[in-house]
Amino acid sequence: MRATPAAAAASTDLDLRDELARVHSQAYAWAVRCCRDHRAEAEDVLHEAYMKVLDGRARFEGRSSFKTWLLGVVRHTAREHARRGWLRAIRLERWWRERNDDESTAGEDGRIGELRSALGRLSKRQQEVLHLVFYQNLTINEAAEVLAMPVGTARTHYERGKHRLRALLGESEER
Amino acid sequence: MESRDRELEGLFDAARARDERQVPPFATIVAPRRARGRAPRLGFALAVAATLLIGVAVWRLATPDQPKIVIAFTPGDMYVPTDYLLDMMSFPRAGEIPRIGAADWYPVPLADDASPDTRRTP
Repeated sequence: MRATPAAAAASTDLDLRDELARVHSQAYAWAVRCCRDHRAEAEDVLHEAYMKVLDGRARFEGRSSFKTWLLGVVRHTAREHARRGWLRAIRLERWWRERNDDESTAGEDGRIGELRSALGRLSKRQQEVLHLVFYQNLTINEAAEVLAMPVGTARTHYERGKHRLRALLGESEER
Repeated sequence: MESRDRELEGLFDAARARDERQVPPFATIVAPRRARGRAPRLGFALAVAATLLIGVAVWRLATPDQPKIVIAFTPGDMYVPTDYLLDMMSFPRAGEIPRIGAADWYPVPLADDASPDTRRTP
């Protein structure tokens, strides 16, 4: 959805809620990706991001699509969350969450499991760009905007990540 | 787009379709944070506190006690420094006129069978 700044300023809280609800599943998937597949943490991050949007701490000015902008807010919130998280009692709590999250993704279909496993072996940036392009159906320009990086850098991550991902999937297919 | 890209797209689409079944409802995420997030933290804090308490208890038990200072004293060892005054009262020569320079007191020798607190009686 493209919106002018004026239209965005006029949007009510109800409109924002509708917009958030519309892109909720994509935002959730992105939050999970930003939290390195920790679903419980992703829920906390998403809640914080939604609150920022609804409180007006993050203001949509219509310079991109609502979804692109929201994914940027989610990513920013996840980074803040991660910075605060270092203090969490020697990571024991995180370990416990990870353990529970692993259980939730256990028993995944073969090919999807291979995809996730191969993605996990790419660099963080490559994973993010490929997720935004293939999973979220964004263009490379939009992905660069979400990740706050130059388009050329995003394109490089995209090409190298895609190449490596194919190689890794090919390897697992041969086995 | 290359056919290989389409293959990747197909895989990501399948992953997305699978993930959508696990997405928590929007209302749940927007709702004020419930105790779900806090309960494990409280439990975790309690577990840390319990571990600390157990650690302190074990440390206290494992540390050897300080040597105790025991003051051993029995009535027989006691010596009252004013005993000589009593000796004066019961001295056999008490009726004699004291002379200057006379050694008119001495420590009371105890009899072998006497109890330590035996006093000479007049």
